[in-house]
Amino acid sequence: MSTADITLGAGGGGEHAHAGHHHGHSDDPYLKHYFANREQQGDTAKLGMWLFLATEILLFGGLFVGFGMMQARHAEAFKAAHHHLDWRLGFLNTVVLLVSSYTMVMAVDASTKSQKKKLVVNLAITLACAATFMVVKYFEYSHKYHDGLLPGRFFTYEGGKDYGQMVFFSFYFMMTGLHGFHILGGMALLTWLLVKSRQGAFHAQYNTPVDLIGLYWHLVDLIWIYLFPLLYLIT
Amino acid sequence: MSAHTQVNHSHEHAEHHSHGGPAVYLKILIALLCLTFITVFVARHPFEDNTVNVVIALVIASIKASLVALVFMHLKYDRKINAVALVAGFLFLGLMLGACMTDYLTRESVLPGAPVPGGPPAPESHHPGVPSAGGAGGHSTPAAPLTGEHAGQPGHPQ
Repeated sequence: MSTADITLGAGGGGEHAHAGHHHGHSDDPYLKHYFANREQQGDTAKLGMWLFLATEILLFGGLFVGFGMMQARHAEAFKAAHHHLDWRLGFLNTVVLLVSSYTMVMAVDASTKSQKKKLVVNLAITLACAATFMVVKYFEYSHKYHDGLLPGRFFTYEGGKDYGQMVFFSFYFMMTGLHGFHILGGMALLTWLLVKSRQGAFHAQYNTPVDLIGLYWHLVDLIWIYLFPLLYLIT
Repeated sequence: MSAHTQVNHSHEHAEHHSHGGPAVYLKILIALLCLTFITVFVARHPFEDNTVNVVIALVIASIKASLVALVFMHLKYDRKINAVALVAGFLFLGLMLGACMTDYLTRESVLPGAPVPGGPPAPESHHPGVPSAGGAGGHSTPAAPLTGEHAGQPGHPQ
């Protein structure tokens, strides 16, 4: 790699130096011409991602507010309804997501140090954790489906049709469902990252996609941190 | 020339070491797992007043969220403008939550006769005149079988 660099530098030496003076940063293949430098480019991308994450907080926030109001309204029914959720599965999924957040931040760390193998391994573990989360979710959902603990008019639980419980399961499915779609979206992004990382696309000079998808992944984890106690552990 | 790039690389490495690093990340993960255990433990041993449990659960969740945001999401090391975006998001969420809950939880004192917050749903079939805050007003068909369950429950306000 370094020999190739040297050869390239020696071959076009004079012309390169001359052109470099006029074009400035445009020599940098990772720098868009409308940014002054890489630092500014990276900061801009990151701020854009944070603005998107703020809208995500508000998207889930609406559901959290609705949940809070309905919990105040149907406190007893919500308390009874949460017994249909297995807190052990919720706990397992919490641990799985926390570990995936750790491997994600390790992947970002590896990408800034051009450690390709470490990057690929950490992304693969993150993806595996995401898949585990969805498998657990599948078992939880199918259990609810069999018991008729479904949202709205699909609520056909034989143990008693309770309006408050129906509201609880409406919120349960909307909140965990929206969160689940975010996990699926994250899995698609992680798969893309994994393929590109194996091709060596991310290294110390350029890791913006790893960085930004990492931020997204942490936010999905952060939302689950609130969902788990509210849905599974209400007393 | 190659010596120059070498210097650049090591400089960048030094910069990124201030971004926490694997040792810090592992400590944060362990802290997050411990806090999760505490959350579950507290929830499995409920207090007399379950509001205490909800408050503890939300405080622990917020500590966990802060750890994730500050270290895993690099807010602690990044430009503060990124934190402004996140804090603004939470601020407006707080406004939405605060305004909605103050409205909802004070209805009884402002509008006597309105459904008591926190109680079981008002059975629409028995009190057709009382508007339901549960949103069941539009769905008159399932109201009767769904609320029949509550007729004999203790603590009913009526």
